[in-house]
Amino acid sequence: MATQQLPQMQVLKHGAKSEAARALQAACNRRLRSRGLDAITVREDGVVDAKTLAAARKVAWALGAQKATYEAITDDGVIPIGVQRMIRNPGHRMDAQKSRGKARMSRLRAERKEQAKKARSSRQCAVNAFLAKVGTREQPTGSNGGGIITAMETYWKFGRVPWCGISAGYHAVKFGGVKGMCSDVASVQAITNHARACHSPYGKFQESPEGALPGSLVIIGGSGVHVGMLVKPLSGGAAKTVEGNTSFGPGGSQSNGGCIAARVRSAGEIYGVATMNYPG
Amino acid sequence: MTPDLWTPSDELLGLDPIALQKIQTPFEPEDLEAQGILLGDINDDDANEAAACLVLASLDDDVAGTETGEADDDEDLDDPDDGEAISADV
Repeated sequence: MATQQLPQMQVLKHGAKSEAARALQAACNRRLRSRGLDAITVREDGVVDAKTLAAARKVAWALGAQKATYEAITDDGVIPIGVQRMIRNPGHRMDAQKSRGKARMSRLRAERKEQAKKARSSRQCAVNAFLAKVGTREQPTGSNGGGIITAMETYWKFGRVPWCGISAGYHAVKFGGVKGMCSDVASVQAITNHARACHSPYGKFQESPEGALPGSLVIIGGSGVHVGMLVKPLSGGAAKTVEGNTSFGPGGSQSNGGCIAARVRSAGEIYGVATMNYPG
Repeated sequence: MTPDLWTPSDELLGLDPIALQKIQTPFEPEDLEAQGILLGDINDDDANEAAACLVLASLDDDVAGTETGEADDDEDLDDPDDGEAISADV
């Protein structure tokens, strides 16, 4: 068998172009394909762009990298050599990494099985498109804009403003096909008022997420404070949500944190739910 | 609720008179893409679904569990070996 020449591994930084980056992209794509994730493969052009960083993060997660390791890839815009080695040579992983990887793949397959059981509704398309952007951050930090965040604001003809309602409304309309939603979706209070008054396309206002369908808007933190999109109600009045302009965990600003994050909100954090009328 | 973690979004919006006007005189969005303005979003439901499942599965990383997992992910083809081990810190 001919020996294949390996491009020398080097720390890969956002924006750089190299043969090492191309080799990593190819390895990422192999790992994604072997896990049935063909749909999220990346271009093998050797450029370390945001999509490459996101793909490396996903593959590192699937292969069992520690949370701090895979989060740092997109947080810092850097792919260290250790991560590249894991992605290009997964057979060399430590047992703990393999074990984490297996458990994660088990959860991923369970999620995919659950999605496959349901018909792909317009609600689910809205939620999935929002979830697919988890990890997005304002660029620069604190700017209320950058990349897809600016695109969502442009969609509603806003400048760089607090964007939790803007992002939820963008996904409901653009990916969920909700008709009749207006620019006042930027205001948490306006969402609440419309839902209380049952103004179409809002359905009704309810205090608990129980019984609400995915794609409903969840008012969080109090009246006029913050809004996200319901992924799934949980027991005890809690809910899985996807939110714009929050933080990845409880430590940072919950209502102006600059990130798109998937969260589990407790009953105590949830002020109410505005149900939404989606087509179909 | 800790005030600095829960600054009301509406209060911040209220500081911007142009934003306030767009809220007080609401309008529906135009089809920007029909006007040739590309938003750079991923209009691929399959890709979004795959990415969404991955996010939801990773959300449970925070939950301590005893899952052993049954998925076999050891069938990956490695790149040619560079002879280096992967650090346990990764």
